[in-house]
Amino acid sequence: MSEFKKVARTDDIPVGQVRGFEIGHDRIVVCNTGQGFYAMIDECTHQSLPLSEGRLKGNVLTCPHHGAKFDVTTGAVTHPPAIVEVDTYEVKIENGELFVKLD
Amino acid sequence: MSEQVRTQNEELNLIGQDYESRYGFHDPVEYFHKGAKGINHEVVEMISKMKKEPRWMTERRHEALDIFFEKPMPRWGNTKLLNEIDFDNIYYYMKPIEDQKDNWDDVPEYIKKTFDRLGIPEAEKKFLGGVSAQYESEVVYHSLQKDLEDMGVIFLDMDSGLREYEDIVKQYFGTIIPSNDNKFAALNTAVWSGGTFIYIPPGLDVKAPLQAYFRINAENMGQFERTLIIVDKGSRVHYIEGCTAPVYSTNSLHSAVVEMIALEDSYIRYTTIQNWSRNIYNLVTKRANVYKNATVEWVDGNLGSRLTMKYPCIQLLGEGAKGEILSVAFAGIDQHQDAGAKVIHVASNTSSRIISKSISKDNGRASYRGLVKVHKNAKNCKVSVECDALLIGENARSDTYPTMEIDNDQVKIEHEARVSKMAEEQLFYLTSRGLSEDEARLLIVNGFMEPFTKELPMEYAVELNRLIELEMEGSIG
Amino acid sequence: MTTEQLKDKSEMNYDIKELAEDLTNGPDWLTDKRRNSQKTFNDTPVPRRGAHLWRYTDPYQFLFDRESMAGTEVSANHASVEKAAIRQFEENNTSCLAIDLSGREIKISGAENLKKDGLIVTSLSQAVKSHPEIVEKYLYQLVGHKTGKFEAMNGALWHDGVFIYVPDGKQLEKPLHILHDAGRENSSSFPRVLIVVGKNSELTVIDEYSGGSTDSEKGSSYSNGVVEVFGDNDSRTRYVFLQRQASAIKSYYTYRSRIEQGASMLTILLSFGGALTKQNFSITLNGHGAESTLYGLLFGTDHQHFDNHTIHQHSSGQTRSDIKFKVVLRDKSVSTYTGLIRIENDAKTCEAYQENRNLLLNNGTRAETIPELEILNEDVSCSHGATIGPIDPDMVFYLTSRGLSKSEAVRTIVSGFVADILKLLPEDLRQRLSGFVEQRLENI
Repeated sequence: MSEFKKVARTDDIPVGQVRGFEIGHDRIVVCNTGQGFYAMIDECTHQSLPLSEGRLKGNVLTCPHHGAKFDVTTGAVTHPPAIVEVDTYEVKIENGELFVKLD
Repeated sequence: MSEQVRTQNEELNLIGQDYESRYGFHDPVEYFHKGAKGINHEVVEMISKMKKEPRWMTERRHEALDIFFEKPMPRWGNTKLLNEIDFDNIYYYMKPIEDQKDNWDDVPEYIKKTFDRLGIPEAEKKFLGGVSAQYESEVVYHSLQKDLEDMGVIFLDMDSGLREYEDIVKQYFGTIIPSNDNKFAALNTAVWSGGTFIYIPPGLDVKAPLQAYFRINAENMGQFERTLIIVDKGSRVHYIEGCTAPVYSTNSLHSAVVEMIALEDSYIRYTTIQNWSRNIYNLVTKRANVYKNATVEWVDGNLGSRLTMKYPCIQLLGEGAKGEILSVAFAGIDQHQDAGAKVIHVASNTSSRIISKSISKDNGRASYRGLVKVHKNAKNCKVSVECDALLIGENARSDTYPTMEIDNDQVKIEHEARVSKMAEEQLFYLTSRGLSEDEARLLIVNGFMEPFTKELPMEYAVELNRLIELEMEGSIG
Repeated sequence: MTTEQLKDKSEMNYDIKELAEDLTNGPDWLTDKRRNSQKTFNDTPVPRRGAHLWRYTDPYQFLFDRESMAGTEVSANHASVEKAAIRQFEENNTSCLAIDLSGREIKISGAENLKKDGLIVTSLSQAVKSHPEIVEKYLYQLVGHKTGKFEAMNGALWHDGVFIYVPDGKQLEKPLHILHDAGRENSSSFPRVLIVVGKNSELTVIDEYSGGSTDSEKGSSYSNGVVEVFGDNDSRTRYVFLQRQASAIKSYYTYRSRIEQGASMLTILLSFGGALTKQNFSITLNGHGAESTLYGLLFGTDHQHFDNHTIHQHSSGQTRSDIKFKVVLRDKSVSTYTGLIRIENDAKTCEAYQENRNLLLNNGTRAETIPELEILNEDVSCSHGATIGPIDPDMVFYLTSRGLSKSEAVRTIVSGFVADILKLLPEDLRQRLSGFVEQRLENI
């Protein structure tokens, strides 16, 4: 049964930035695009390296290792060398706190 | 965040600035006549101007150059040889044709000897020896061209491809191998010149192999070739590049990029035989995207160069897609053939096969580096990998570094590798039947390579066999 | 569920600032080794994620704030585990039992009996005083301060360990049992084992690692252990590494063995526990005619992550090695295996084989395998193979059509898969392991 787990406070993640979190067994990256907060698995589908070290521009997160780009709202690949989309997680904000629904 | 990543992010921010105002340019032809070596934004701007490229390509080149500067050298592989590359001491553009002189004397002895033994005609010798600008078989080339044109096949050098089919090139260029993929892909994207552009329209079975041999001239002598091959739905083509005869080049760094797209139900076979002279570092990135029910085969022969690093890659993106990589490497004195294969299964019901055969002789070193990756939503995939290495001589070296990353349980993955020297029993059997030891060894090596040679068009197979004979005799290198 | 910001983790300072007094009040040579290890640990950067051997495992998982991991209670199940071990000893199934409580206390039963034959089983702290020449000759020789960052962590911080010495010409029939307890949540331990087997001698050791945090919500626990084994000419050593730790512990283990002329080494690596375990097993064949066999078996469940690295290093000619590494995974467990066979240029007429077979019991598991070969001369016979796949559906069909239920069929097939490794173990251990396998097949 999956439920929402508290991950951080929204002010932990400034606009235009991303942060990586380890929650139990899961590693996720949370992005603040300015339009909203989005969560994805913290693993680039190219060579499984952490996305949380990457750079966010608008809705697009660039993996710093080989330049693969992903749309954080859907997980879709927008630039190679990644060819498979990244899993995304549902995010909920309540009273300045950020919750993520993990499987 | 690591220091490296932070710096990388900062530098990425500078890309896209206005290059003309930053670097200030002069007349290209005059610039090149000065004979400058080394790589910088001015050189890149000149290359693009000389070719009269569209602005988007020029910008791609500049962006790629920044990525090249900022990426470190690979920390794996033959780092000793790699770090010998002196980037500032290389010419990154082709010299104008008028400058070609008849320097037959400069061509190394072993190359000239091999030509003689292989029976290469006089005209070809000059071309392969880099002393002649044009391959003197204009007539043959032109008649081939006409037939293809009539079929609707587009088979041009890459510069012409960009000029005449800009839309298609723009749609696919860099979509499989982006500049950021690795340091040498970035370098190639910045300074590429020559290479092949092929587009096969849907529903066409191109029976005769397309051979680069007849199309290239000295200008496009493979230093930083960029190749883009697109085969549309249901079509079939076989492309062959390189040749078994040794090719001499004074440019010591060769870094090519090949991108291939096999659309639904298509078939592409890409055969390469590389026999660069022994002063060359040959670093190639080759990758194909294969769609539904399509098939791509890489047939890759590595005989020459001082160091070759090449791992043809197949990405199976559509259901029913198939990939096969057949690789052969011969590492003789002081050579390192660092070859391999990569297969990535993204779609379900895909299958792939990798067969790698290598021979190391004297102090040669042959390495196999491979990757088999099955993504988590790819069900019912079958993969088989077979690596065989033959060692001849007490200082020969063989390495095998295969990686398998499997994220779906409905798969069948098999990998096997064997390393051995020539079996005493085999040698004994043959010599006891009247063959000399040399003849026996040659027969065993030919038998070992047979799965590869039988896939080549006849004239290549014959030449390859002759070349192996020379290698075994020790008359080369 | 604990949440940690990854940025904080990578920006923390993990340096070993001071070596506690009880670590530096031994002989000078030992203190020097510890200090060198401390320096190496502090000066070596954390391996890059993505570098060889760290492709799938995050190195920061093995770094922790030692001050908050200073718990001193034994693990919750220790009493029962210890009881079972003592019963084995009392029933004469093992000749000696050494119990290591996170290096704080080493209790040994049965050493007196062995002493008359010259065999020594004692704590390292004791051995440093009673047999200084032997300990100084061997300790840190295979896993020294230069080996690597994490090995250096142990090299500086190991508290106490177990020392086993078998003089020349002695054969110990019954196995020797070492049981390490890793404590509870919020604790850390640095087990250290040194085994020296003399010429023509024989020894079997069962090195069992148990305990650790059972609940990550309450806190993690960490273990970083080193085992060095020396087999002199014509010796025959059997070493069983049994890792059956609790579900929330993160462990890093380094085992290095060196065998001389004519010696044989059988290493059995059994790994069932832990949240995250990285195990490095390396055997060097250092004399003509030496032979090493390594069998590995791991069974992952839940979210377990196993990272194993094996090396068979042939430094001498006419040596033979063989590795059979079997992995069974279910639920969302992950296994990474890198196995290297290296045959040096002057090691002629060697034979080396390696096989890694991975059985995936459901979708959601992940297996990575990288069998590597580095062969520097032609006079070899060398091969390796790897397979990854689910249980053969034809096999399941065959068994169910003969009356077995699906889960009985799966049990039968998995038991068959692990049988060749289990049959190498002493009877009581084999039964225990069959029990572990059974347990892990529940609800399949």
